[in-house]
Amino acid sequence: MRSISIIALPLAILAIAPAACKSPPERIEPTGPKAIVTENLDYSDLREWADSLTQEMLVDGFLEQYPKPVIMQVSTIENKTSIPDVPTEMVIGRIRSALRQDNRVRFVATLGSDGRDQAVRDNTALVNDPMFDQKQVAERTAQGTASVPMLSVNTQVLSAYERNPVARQRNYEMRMWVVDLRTGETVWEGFSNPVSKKSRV
Amino acid sequence: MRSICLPVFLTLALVAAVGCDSSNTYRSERTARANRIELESRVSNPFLAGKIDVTSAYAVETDGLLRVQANIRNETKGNGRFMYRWTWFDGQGMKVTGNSDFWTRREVNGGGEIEIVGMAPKAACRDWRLEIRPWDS
Repeated sequence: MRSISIIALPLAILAIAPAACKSPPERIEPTGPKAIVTENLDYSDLREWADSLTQEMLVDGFLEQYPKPVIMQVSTIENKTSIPDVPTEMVIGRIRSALRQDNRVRFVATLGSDGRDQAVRDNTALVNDPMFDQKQVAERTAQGTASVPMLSVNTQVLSAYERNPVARQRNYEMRMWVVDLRTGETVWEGFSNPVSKKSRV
Repeated sequence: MRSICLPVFLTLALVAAVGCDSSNTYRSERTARANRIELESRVSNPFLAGKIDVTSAYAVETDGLLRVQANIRNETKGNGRFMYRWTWFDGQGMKVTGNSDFWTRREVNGGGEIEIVGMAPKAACRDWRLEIRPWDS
């Protein structure tokens, strides 16, 4: 009996100890040195992509040929990596937000695949609805007043994987191109800074 | 004999360890560049500054937006890993919020030079700050 307790007691302590020592969550700088780096796409990587692509677009100067604000829509967002859920909205949303500064660009919420607002179309059904003030309906609903985009933005998240007997490398980048919807020409295209992750097999 | 072998071996190992990570750099002799700006620095990590240092900076305006390039040199022979962050201010010294407020990771070869570029989020930005810290992980 005594020999059982001699073995069991330390085992029980060892089993409980990790749970007891588990530290509480720590609030960190989202992209700082304590941020976790994984072999997939991390938050820091997405922030870098948004910044590098915005810079590429603005430095190119292709927007200068269009009257301000340039009306744009987000068309396609393709995830061509093996990661099932890449939060592309974090990149696209930040690019949209950056381009909107100083009234350079405005995105429509009526068309495309990002930042849509169904309310614009729904509200057009308020005409002759006795519940609503028809003067306000005439003023505030898109009856022949919705903007038609001049440019469309398309994105792809791409990856390339390499592996040798001791390590594997995952490379990611975001490709983006902007199409003039009047001419069908691609007026700008570029890539984000590539992100590469190496880990031991 | 043994007493000679050990220092020689250690020296060769050290040379191999640091030499493989360093790079050779060549540049034009032209040093005067129109957009070069004076830098004011506050170094609280001299160890990092002795390793990764900003050697010069240039500023231009692109489509009304201030764009700054900082030229970084790795002063050592080993790889240097660091993080940097840009912060932007308007003419009144107020911080301008934007998407650039995050740390970016970079690696530069021993003896190598790279350029990091920041772009102001708004035309109202008149001033900037660049912070550099070690990237250890």
